[in-house]
Amino acid sequence: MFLISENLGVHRKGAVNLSFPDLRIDRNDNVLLLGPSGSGKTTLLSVLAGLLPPTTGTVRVGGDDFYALSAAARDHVRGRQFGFVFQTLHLLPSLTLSQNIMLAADMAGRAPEAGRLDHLLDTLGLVDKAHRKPDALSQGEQQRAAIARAVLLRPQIIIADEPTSALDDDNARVVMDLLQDQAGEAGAALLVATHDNRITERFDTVLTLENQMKEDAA
Amino acid sequence: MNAFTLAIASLRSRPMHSALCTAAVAAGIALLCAVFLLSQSVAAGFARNAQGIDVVVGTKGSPLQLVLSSVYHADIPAGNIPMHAYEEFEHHPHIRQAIPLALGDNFKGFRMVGTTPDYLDVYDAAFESGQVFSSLFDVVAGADTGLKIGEKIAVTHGFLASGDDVHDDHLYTVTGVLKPSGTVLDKLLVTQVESVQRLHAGHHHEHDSDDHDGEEEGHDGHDHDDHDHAQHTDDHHQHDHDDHDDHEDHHVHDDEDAAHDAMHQITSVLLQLRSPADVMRLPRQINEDSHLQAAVPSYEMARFTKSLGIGRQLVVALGAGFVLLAGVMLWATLSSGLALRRYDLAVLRVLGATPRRLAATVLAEAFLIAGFGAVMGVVCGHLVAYGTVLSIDSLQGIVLPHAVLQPQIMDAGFILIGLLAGLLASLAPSLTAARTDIAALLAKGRV
Repeated sequence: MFLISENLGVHRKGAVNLSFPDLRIDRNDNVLLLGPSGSGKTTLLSVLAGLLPPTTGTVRVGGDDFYALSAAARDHVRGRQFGFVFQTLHLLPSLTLSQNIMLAADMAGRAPEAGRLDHLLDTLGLVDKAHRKPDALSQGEQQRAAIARAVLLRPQIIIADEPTSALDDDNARVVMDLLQDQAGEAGAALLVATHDNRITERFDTVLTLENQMKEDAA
Repeated sequence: MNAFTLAIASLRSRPMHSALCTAAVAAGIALLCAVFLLSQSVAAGFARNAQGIDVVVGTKGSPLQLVLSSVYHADIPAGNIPMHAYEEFEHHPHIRQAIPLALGDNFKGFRMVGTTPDYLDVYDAAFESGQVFSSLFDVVAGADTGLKIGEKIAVTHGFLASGDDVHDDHLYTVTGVLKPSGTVLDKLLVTQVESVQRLHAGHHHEHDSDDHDGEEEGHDGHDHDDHDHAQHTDDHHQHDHDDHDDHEDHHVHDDEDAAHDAMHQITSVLLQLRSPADVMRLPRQINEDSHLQAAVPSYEMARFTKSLGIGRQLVVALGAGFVLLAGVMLWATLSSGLALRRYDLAVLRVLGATPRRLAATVLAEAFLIAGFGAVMGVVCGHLVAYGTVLSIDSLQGIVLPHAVLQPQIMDAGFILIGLLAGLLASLAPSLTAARTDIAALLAKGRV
């Protein structure tokens, strides 16, 4: 098992105490975290990625207690073994498309395998746009660039936060195809957090989170 | 891609902010650099030109004026002293060497100095061509005068090239041209004392005949207000104008007097003493005992520099203020940049960057702006100093304009000051970057 979480809970001052179901994710698994906004999906992803120490419970990555590592070591593991796709894609506006993709390697401090960038640009139809800044790219091109960045280093797991909720049906399908293809190609697990019911049937494992912030939701 | 490439990309995405901050740093450093450069080279120039001159003796008046006029050839002399003063110094037991100076003429703005060959030795002058003056109206030309051996020149009375009172009855012959020495000597014409004296004695006779030819106002057309003749000569003229009744009777006599005086007068005497202890004692003695005034160049220039110090401090404070302001601007720019790029930084963290790395990116931005600004500032500082020297004539005898353009060790210091300002300005923003709560940022939503 690559990623195991047990008994996770996050208590923050002035916020509702969140608790989460246990997770067991291995390579090539496709897992969907389904829950309305306010159910703490993003918080759970942060905890799993080593960005937010949980108040209770443990996260194991590759067998090790993730939060027993130093913060810098967690950053290191995250850089090399996790890939991320955000809803807003977030490419850095000051960098070109290929620089944005290479950012994953630069921040992780590890070079991608030879020809990996060219292969991804080619596969995703981004070769002509490699030296454009994000402003000059279409939404679809930005999405593909963000996915390329997430899979560049062939991570163990790709975590996607609401990758489709802002998209129409066609685009949602395209993005999910790409994500699953690329995850499969990289041999990575795929963990998607969303409130988007349209993509439920694509996943073997679906975990449902309750809205834990009912009181605040109004 | 390292912190610097990221920083460069980030700076280029906001060119206006980056340019303004760089300019502010550059302006502050340039001011500081120019002020220090000028004061340093002026002080060095003062020292270089006064080397080997312990004491200057001239007529009573401002000791600073005496030093400026006789050592730096930057001011006009207040008056003359009798030749026999020099002869007394020549045999004084505490004086190793006495060098007479007779000033009062120029050639195209280059001052004519009547003296002895010893004067050339004070500056270790070397000849480019020719040799030292040996007879009357021979002249040795400084390197900047552009004169060549054998040229015959007519000098103008006074210290301004524009004077219209030309001594064309006696032409000087250039017998030697000096190599550049980096001292006032480069801009001087050096001849025997007697050449200058003769010329001025003759000058008075000329006046005599002029006045009898024409109207009395003839005096005014001449350069008697040029300070270079003995003061009491001027007094006589003043008297003449005040008292027209006596005019015809006395005038010829006065000018004959003046002519006679001119033959026995010099402007000042430069002294080299045998013992450093005498540098304090001897001037005091001279000042108490005689009608002469002795001034110590190093002392006068120290006092002069100190009196300039207030102005210098003001400019230094201004420069420091600029650097401070630049630091605050940089701080504001970095902070606002961070606010804009919060989500960028979060992405970098998610991609595996450590907090330290984010801080380094911010620091790199500050260093790029501050470093580039400081280097530009130092370059501009040198140019400003150069321009200042070129635009102030009297500085040119003292400071070598091209020396001001040379890189200095202190330049490194200014660049360091700039970098330090950058470091201070980026401390808080880089801490902010390092401490960004990524989870909260991600949970809160998207930018």
